[in-house]
Amino acid sequence: MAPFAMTDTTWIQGSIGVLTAALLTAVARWVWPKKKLFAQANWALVLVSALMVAIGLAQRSMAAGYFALSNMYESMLMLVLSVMAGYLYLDARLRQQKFNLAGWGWPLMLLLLIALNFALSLPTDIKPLQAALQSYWRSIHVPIIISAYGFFTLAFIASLVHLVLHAQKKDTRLYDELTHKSVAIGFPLLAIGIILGGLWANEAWGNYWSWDPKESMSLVTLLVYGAYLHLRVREGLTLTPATYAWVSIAGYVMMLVTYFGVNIMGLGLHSYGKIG
Amino acid sequence: MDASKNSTVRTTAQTTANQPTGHTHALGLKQFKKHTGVRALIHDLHRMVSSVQLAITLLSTLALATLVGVLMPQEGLVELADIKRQFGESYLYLRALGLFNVFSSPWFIALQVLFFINLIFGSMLWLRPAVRSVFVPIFCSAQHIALTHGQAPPLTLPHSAQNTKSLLIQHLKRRGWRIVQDPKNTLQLYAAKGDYGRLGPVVAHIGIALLLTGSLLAALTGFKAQHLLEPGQTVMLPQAERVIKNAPEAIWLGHVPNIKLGVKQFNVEFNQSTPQDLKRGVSPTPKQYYCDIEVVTEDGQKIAQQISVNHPLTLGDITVYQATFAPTGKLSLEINHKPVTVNADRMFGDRAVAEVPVMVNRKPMTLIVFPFLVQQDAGVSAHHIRAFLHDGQGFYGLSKADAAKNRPVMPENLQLFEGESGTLGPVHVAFRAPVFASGLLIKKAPELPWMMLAFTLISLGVLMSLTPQRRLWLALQAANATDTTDATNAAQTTIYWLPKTRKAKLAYQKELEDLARALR
Ligand code: HEM
Repeated sequence: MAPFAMTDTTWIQGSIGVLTAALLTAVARWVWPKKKLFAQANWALVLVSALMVAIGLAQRSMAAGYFALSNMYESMLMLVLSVMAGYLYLDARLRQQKFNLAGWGWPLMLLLLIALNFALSLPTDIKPLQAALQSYWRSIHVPIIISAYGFFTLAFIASLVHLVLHAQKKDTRLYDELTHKSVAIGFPLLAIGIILGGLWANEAWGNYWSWDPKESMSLVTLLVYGAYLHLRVREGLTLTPATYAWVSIAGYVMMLVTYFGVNIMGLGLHSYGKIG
Repeated sequence: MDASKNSTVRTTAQTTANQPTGHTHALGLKQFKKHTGVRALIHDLHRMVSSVQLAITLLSTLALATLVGVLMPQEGLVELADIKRQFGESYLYLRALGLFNVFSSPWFIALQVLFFINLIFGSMLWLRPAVRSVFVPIFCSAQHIALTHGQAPPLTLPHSAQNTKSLLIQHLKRRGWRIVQDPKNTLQLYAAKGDYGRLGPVVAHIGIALLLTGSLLAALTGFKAQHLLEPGQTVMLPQAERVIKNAPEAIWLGHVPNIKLGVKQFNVEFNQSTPQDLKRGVSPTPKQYYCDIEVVTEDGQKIAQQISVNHPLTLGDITVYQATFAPTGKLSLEINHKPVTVNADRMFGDRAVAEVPVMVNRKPMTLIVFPFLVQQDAGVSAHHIRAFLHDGQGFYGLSKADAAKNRPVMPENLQLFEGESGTLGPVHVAFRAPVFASGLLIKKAPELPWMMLAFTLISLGVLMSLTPQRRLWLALQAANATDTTDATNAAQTTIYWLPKTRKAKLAYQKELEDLARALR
C-alpha cells in the first residue's frame, strides 16, 4: 500500500477540515444574509464534506466486506451524511424558492462538527457480524432509519432557531415550515424503517415485534412525531407555532434516547435469537 | 353541553357569513343539527371518539406508556427477584398497575383498542371528504373567492377576460396544476395540485386499520412453539416443549397441526475472534447455524430442507425458523475408526468429561475426553478435545517413577481440533464435531398477507402524504362590466384567487407570487 493511502479515518479528518470552512461561510452568511456568494460557498463546502464522509464509509464497507453500518462509529458517519444530504436538499430547494435561510446553517455545522469528532473518538476497528445481522434487510432497514434521524436533526435545529426568533419576537413562519417539512420527510422514513425492521425480525426470529427497548423507543419517537403531524392537521386547535417547535424538540429527545440511550446507557439488551 | 351548543352556533354563523346561498361551501363545512338528551350525549361521544384531538391524546399516551415500559424493568427481561429487591415495599402496588409488564397489561391493550376505535370512527368522518376533495371538484362563488382571498391579493391584467383565462390556464398547466372549469360560470376555475398528497393519509390509515386487524387475527388463531432437537431426534408439533397460543385458550380459535419435525444434521459456525478478545476471555460469537430438517406434514407430505438464521422453511402459514442452539454435552468421535457419540456426563474435578471404555490388547481401558468448546469455555477460539488413556491404575504414558515423584507431570495425551485425528498409544481417535441441539421456532402467522398489505399501504401512504395538496379557486372579473359572464371584450381583467392548503403555506404563497409575476 502507498505510504499516504487514505483510510476512512483520514477521509473523516479531511471532511472535518472542509466542514470547518463550511462553518465559517455559514457564519458569514448569517452576518451578511444578502450576499449570495456565502450561501453558495457554504452549500458547495458541505457537499464536498459530505462526499468525503461518503467515500470514507464506502471504503470501509469494501474493507469489511459488508455494508459498514454495524457499530456506533459507522452509524454516526451515516447520520452525519444524512443530515448533510437533507441540508443540501432543503437549502437548495428553499433558496430556489427565494427564501432566506441564513439562520440555521451555522448551528447545524457546529452540531455536525461535534458529531464527527465524537465519531472519531469511538472504536473504529472492523468486527465480524453476528449471525442475525447478516441479511440484506440490515442494509436497507438501518440506513432508512438513520436518514430519518437526519431529517429529525434538521427539524430540531429549525425548531431551535424558531424558538430563538420567537423569543426575539421575529417572524418564525419560515422555520416553522422548515420544521414541518423536515418532520414530514423524517416521519415516513422512520415508519418505513421500523416496518422493514419488523419484516426483518419476522424473517430472522419469527417475530415482527418483541417490545425490546430499542424497538419500543423507536416507536415512542414515531408516536411523538406522529402527534406532531396530527397537531398540524387539526385546524380547530389554537396552538401557537412555538408549541409545534417544542413538540418537535420532544420528538428529538426521544430520538436521541433511541439512538444513544439504548446502546450507551445500556437500556436493556438486544437479545438476538434467544429462545424464551 | 354548553360548549357544543356554542360551537354549533358559531359554525352556523360562520357558514352563513361566508357562504352565499346556492353554493357549496369551499371548506365543506356542514351544519350540525342540534340534539338533546340521550341523542346529544351519543352525538358528543361520537364526536369525541372520532376526533383528531383524541388521536393526538392517544398517540401521546401510548408514547408515554411505551416509555414507561422501557424505563421500568420488565418481567420478561429482568429477574422477578431483582425487581422485588429494587422496589421493596412499593413492588406490589406497581405490579398491580402493570408497570412491570406494561406491554401485556390490560390498560395498555385497552389503549390500543381505543386507538383502533378512534382510527375507525375518525376515518369514517374524514376519509370520504378527503377522497371527494380529490375526485369531485368543488366550486364556490365569485363573491366568496373575492371576499376570502386572504394572503393572495387580486391581480389586474390588461387583457380581455377570455385571454386572461387562457393565459392563466397555460401558466397553471405548465406548473403542473389540474384545472377544472366551473360548469355554471365560464369565468371561474378550480385548480388542484398534489392530489395524491391528500390521498396519502387515506391510504396510510387504511393500512393502519389493516395492521390492527391483522394483529387481532394473529392473536385469535396464531401460535408459536419452541423445541430443542438433537441430530437424529424428532418431535410431533403439539408435543413440543413450549407451545404458546397467542390468546387465552378460551377465546383462541386456531389449531396446532400434527406436523412431525426432525433434525438430521446441525452445524454451528463461529466467527473468528481476535487475539485481544481471546486474552480477555471473550468467546467468538456464532456466525451461522445450518440445520438440515425433515418435516412430515399432516397430509403425509415429506419435506427436507436446510434452514439457517434468516432462511426459514415456509409451509403455508406455518414457518420453521432456526432460532438458537444449545450444547448437548455430547461429542461425535471416531475411536479406532468406528464412529461413536460420547457424552461428557462425568466430572473430573470441576470439569465435565466423557469416559469411554475401550479395549486395548484385550485389556479394558478408559479413554477420558475433555471437551473445550467455544462459548462454553473461556478463551477458547476453536472447539477441541484433549484425550487421556487410563487403565484403572494409572494414566497411559506416565511411568510409575514419574507418578511416584508426586509432582505434577502431564501424562501423554492427544489434543485434537475439529476434523483432526491422531493416535494415543494404541488408540486411534478422530474428533468429528461437538454435538449441538438445534433450537427451532415454529410459528403460525395467518396474518402474514394482511400485514404485508398493511405495511405496503402504510409505507405508500406516508410517502404520498409528503406532497402537500394545494387547491386554488379563481374568479375573473372584467373591469367596468356589469355582467361578469358576458364581458369578453373588456380590456382589463381582475383575477381573484382563493388558495387553500394545509401544509407548506409559505411555499404556496411564494408559488402564487411567482405565478403572479409570470402572468404580468
Ligand atoms: C399510528 C397511527 C397513525 C399514523 C401513523 C397516522 C399517520 C398520518 C399521516 C402520515 C397523516 C398525514 C399528515 C400530514 O398530511 O401531514 C395523517 C393525517 C391524519 N390523521 Fe393520522 N395517523 C395515525 C392515527 C390516526 C388516528 C387514530 C386518527 C383518528 C382520528 C387519525 C386522523 C388523521 C386525520 C384526520 C388526518 C388528516 C387527513 C387529511 O389530510 O384530511 N390518524 N395521519
